[in-house]
Amino acid sequence: MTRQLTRPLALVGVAILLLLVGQALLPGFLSLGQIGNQLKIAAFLGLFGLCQTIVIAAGGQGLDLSVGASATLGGILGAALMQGSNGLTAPALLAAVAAGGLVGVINGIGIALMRIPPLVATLAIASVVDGGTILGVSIAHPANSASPVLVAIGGWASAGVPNIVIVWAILGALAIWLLSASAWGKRLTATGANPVASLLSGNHVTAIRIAAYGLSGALAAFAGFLLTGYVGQAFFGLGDPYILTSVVVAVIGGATLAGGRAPYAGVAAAAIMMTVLVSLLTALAIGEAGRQIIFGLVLLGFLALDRMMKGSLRMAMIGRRPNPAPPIAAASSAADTPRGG
Amino acid sequence: MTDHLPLPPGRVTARRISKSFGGVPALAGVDLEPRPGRVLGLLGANGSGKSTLCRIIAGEMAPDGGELLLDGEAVRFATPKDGVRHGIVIAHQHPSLAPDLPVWENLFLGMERCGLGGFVSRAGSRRAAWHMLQAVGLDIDIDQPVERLSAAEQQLVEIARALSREPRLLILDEPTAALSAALVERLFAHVRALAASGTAIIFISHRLQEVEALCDDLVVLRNGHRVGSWELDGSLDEARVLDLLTGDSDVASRARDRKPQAAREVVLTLEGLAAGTALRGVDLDLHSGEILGLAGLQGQGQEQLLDAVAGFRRKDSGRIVHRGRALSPRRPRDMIRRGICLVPNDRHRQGLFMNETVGENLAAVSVAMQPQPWRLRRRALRDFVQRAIPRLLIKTRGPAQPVATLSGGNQQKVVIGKWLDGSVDVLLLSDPTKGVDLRARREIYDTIADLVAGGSAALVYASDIHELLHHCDRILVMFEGRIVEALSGSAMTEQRVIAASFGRVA
Repeated sequence: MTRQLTRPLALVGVAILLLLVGQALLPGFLSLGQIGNQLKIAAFLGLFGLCQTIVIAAGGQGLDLSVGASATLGGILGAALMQGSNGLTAPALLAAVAAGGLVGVINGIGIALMRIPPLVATLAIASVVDGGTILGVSIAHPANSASPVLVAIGGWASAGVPNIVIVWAILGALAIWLLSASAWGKRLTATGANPVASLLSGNHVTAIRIAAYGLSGALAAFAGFLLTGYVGQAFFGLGDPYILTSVVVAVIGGATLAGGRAPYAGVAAAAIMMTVLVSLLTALAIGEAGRQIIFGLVLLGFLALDRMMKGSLRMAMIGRRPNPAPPIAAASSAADTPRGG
Repeated sequence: MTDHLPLPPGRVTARRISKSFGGVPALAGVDLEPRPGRVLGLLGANGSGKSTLCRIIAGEMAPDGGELLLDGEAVRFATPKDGVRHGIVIAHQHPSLAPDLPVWENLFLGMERCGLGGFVSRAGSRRAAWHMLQAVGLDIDIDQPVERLSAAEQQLVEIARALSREPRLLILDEPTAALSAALVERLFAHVRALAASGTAIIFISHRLQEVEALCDDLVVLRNGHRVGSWELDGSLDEARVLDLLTGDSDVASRARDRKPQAAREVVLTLEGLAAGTALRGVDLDLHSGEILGLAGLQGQGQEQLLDAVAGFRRKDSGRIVHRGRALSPRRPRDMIRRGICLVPNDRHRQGLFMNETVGENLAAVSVAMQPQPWRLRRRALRDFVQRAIPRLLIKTRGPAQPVATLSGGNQQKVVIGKWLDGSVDVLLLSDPTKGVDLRARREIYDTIADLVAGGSAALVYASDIHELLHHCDRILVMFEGRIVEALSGSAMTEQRVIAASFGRVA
């Protein structure tokens, strides 16, 4: 339990430290409104990070590069169906999530059944979905604005807490339960850690992997739908900024690309930390080039730290390894050896 | 044909070679003198030290004691390349090829033919490759990756590669296991021609008729000792060989109290079960309360048989009938539902989640098979794990200990223990005591005996014959994908099992 909490707490600690540094350099950086804004941005990053957490945990070099396309699809399809009306918001949401889920299931079939590497499969599907979305928009010219209710959920706050942050908190808590406390979560991480042992233990490995990608697609479309409310309207390329950043926060949050771990608390904390870091760099007027360099260095630094910690853990485990059966032959021959002199 | 100079024929002699692994002696002072121009047959059961001896001669492994002489002078090989430099070449039983490289590149792996400036000379290499393959009777596209070749073709590529190095001593480690009769003939013709040109050859095979057909000299190894050697003149004294292979311990102690099987009901029936090239049609009946042993040399289809019954390998033909119902499993889950459970061959890769704890590993099957995928039955799981640890006598600090820190025997108990939460009707075990100490071995078989006493049945493959003789009610011997002998009662002797393992049925 303590080990599971170390990383999220450390990441939140770094985020607070960054906020304090920001306050020292730029008075006003640490205002309540500012923190609320950052959490809003972090909520979206955190939702996309959840997609990656799930598929990375499923193993087999899991990765979902179609989250951007699914989000854009969810946003544009949702806006098209709701036509700015509050009453149609719920059905539009369902349709958007279903569409994203379908994209994810197709990813999953390609990966789990046809054995296409996840990187390639999701990239290809992303391209198809993006193209299809453009085609659909150019033919149908659908409505693209969010309904007032959706704008309220995506952009407004209740009692000082942004609504979107509440949504994220509920979904995040559900995700943590699902991934680390439910039977399905155990099956998912077992499959990621050792697919053969998982299959031989009775898991339906193929179905689990397809479900993981389906869930990722559905969540991405849900995030895209909410993003439409946050921005006010859906547009092409809505989800694209999250494709790689979602992978980055998942990795910093403790997901290992080899699979088998789904530490969503850490990923959520990483989303907050990275959001604060980016906004601090922006506020300090560090340009795009500088931001990218720092972003990359932070990623490398965390991966190196990860390696070091795992190395020391392994050493500790070997140190504690109980001696196997004493080498009888060696012991007896030592006893039999006549002493010289 | 190749760039390096042909070596003059010379003698390689192994003198008093000894080697042990983890305190267990594999070779105890063995001499071997392959003579130029002759084929030396090396016979022995699994674990008798044949492969270890050959790997030491080829420089792939350093001996603990003894020496290698090259034309009377002691030599020491630091790497396999040193062996090759001295003209000692080994063709392995399991080809050591790079699966995604084309055939012709594999032929020159590690000894690339280089032209001006150190670049690989493609045209020359490809031409030479074609000739090399023609020589062993292989007519294939040399540009296709090796992984697309059949097992037999891969074996021939491995052999062609060894031949091309113009060895003074060529070691063929079970080269014929994957080959058809016609290809074997062709290979033998080539080997004879090579011997006629002055090369010394060591030939390992489990097929006595091949040794008879090809070899000039014979050496028999048992438990790391050389127990017999003589010159062959075209015929092989089979009785004498089998005698030497088994030793004279004709009274195998039997621990299991065997009961007559006639009255017991049949739990599992296999009819003509075939899967891939390794499993070619197996019939058997497994009775309630029975421990049925699968014997035979390694790689005769035993693992594939267990995998196919467990639903881990798709069957090509034949029937699996469990308690009156014919089954065509698509995945292990289908069989686990019916209580047919596999303890797989490779503990680390197939049986355990090495990064997890003892408790998580024991609970893996229960979690996978619980009806709904949401709420974990935490209390039930904890109770099960708390019961399983003492029941299997797993030596552990507790359920939270990482499974990677347990000894091999205790890890195997965990792999068996994960089945005990559900009801086990047929327990399939693939070499369950590999790398397990004697005490844990007995405890594992005690667990199996307890289980079958309750009316289920066990089908066990073990590479150790004594273990099977000791613990099983009946023994079936497999040879080349089929069951060649069924032994029970007083017929269950080491001699009968070993003779059948070499395809000789009394």
